[in-house]
Amino acid sequence: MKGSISAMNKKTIVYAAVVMLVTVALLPACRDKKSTGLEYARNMYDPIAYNQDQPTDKKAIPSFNGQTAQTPPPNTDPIGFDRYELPNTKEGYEASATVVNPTTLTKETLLEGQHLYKVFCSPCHGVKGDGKGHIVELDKGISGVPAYFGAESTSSRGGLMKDMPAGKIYHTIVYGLNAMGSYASQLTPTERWKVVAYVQQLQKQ
Amino acid sequence: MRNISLIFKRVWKSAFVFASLSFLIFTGAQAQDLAEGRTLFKDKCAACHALDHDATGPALTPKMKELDEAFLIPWIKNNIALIASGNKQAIEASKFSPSEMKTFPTLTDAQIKSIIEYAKVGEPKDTKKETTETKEEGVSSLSLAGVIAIIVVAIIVLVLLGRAVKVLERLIMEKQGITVVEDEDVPLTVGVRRLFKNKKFVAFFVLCLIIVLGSFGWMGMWETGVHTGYQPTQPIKFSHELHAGINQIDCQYCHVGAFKSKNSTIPSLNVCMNCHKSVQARKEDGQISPEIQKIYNALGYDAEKQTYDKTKEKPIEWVRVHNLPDFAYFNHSQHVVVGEQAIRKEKGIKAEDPVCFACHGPVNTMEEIYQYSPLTMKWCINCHRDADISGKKNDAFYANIIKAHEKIKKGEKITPAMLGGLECGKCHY
Repeated sequence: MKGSISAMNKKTIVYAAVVMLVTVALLPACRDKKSTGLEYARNMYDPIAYNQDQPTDKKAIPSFNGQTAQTPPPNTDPIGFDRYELPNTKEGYEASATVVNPTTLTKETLLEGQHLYKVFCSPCHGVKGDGKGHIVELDKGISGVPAYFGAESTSSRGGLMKDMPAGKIYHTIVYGLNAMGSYASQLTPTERWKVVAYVQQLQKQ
Repeated sequence: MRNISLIFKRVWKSAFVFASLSFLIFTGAQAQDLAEGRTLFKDKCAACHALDHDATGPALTPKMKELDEAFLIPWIKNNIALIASGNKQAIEASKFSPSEMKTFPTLTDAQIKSIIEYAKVGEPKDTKKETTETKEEGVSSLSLAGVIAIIVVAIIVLVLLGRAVKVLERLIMEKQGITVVEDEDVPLTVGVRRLFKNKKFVAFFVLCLIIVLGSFGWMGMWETGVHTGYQPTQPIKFSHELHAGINQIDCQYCHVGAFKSKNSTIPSLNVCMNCHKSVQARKEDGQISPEIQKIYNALGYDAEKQTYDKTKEKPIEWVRVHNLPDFAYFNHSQHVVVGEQAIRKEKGIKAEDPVCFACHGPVNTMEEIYQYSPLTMKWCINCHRDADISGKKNDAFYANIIKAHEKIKKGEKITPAMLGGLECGKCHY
């Protein structure tokens, strides 16, 4: 009788020890990547004001369509906003030829223009402006990008690419053309003009 | 007779060789034509035309099959002149869209023919790729099943061995003359009660309890509110590995706000459309990739007609991964632009990598984005204690402070405005 109990105890103890070790070893693995885990005072994480890029309460403000990101109300401009007046039409494009680049050409603005060009334009237009950017080389659907220079490279709106004036380049950045989208949301007016200045350097090749 | 048959054989052989060779050369020439047509198409036409669906211009495969070369060659060379000459077919063709087609005066007739040839045949189909892919997938699921099977077998073996040990023990005891009390005879409650009378066991049980609860508590305290590794499921399977890694799109291209404002901004869908208007990852049956289709659906965009329907717009609800508590102020541009050099130095970021990697980790290898850094206060402070911000490149901010400091030394008046007190964000955030 006594022997059997002690034998049973020993076995139970070994079993219990194994179970416990396994639990302790598995505890960190329990963490679910899809959940934020334990949170204390969650309401301190959420702002009372609008939370950028997060949904808004549809019932509280129905006109927001559940979004926080909103365009300004009609007929208003944010402070410091520079509105581009020419329309996205053929006439607007032709009229843009006379618009002059307001930024002064310095080494610094050119360097900034170069950086912005590299980030926003070169994936398609190529680092040298030859229309052979790395996305074009990957051949995933974007191709036929015109080069900025050369006697054969024409714009689809007429004229040689290398002769395109600053205003028309700016117009194209604002509205996009054919497969190219508008870059107005990614580049501020000053940044666009810096890019234009750099593109004009590439045209001279 | 034998000679004749030999000669016949030879002639037949050489004829066969000649025929097969000429066939090879012919197909080779055709393939070359197609290859030339393909490069020319990609270079000159693909900006506006796709083969199987309308883009800025009409789908080319049906058009090339429908129209004949006598019209196509002058049209491609200079469509504007052809329309001006009053060609009825040309005027009809120009009605497709208000945007004019570009002229290609430098293309030769032969080049245009090769483009037409390519457009008629279409993209060579790649069946090999798909079969290998499915094979790989099969292997991976098979290995997973194998692992599970091994675990199950191991458990069964363990249980069997345990039973065998029990039986053997009982046999040994019986030989030694000890009567065996069957475990089953003792009711469970009685057994447990008896167990808890054993001091050794109670001590062990309490120890276990302390260790388990202690480790739970310890980890709970360390990990409460720390979301390292958090990887929520996003509404679109957007892969940073593909976009930032393989396709080498700069972080700034989409997250413009990180360089200009407090918030790094999730790109609005027009940024996606900059590329995905053209990049549709169509499958062989012409279906647009379902993930890209989600962008189109959210925009109410019809890929075939290329029109937007405002009434069908609905925002994509991306799940925020990095969520700093509202009581902590963090400004992206201050770190990415002003502090870039200091952070690069402190965190050892390579010159070719973006500074973003310092906190967000190797984003270009994350198929699904997750939180890399703990974003705890200790983590912030450790960097703020060590980072060297005396760099000369972005010293406009520090130059202002030095200027104000000089004024203090001279006993002149300084105002909050000199120290950036008029910045909106000083009060409104």
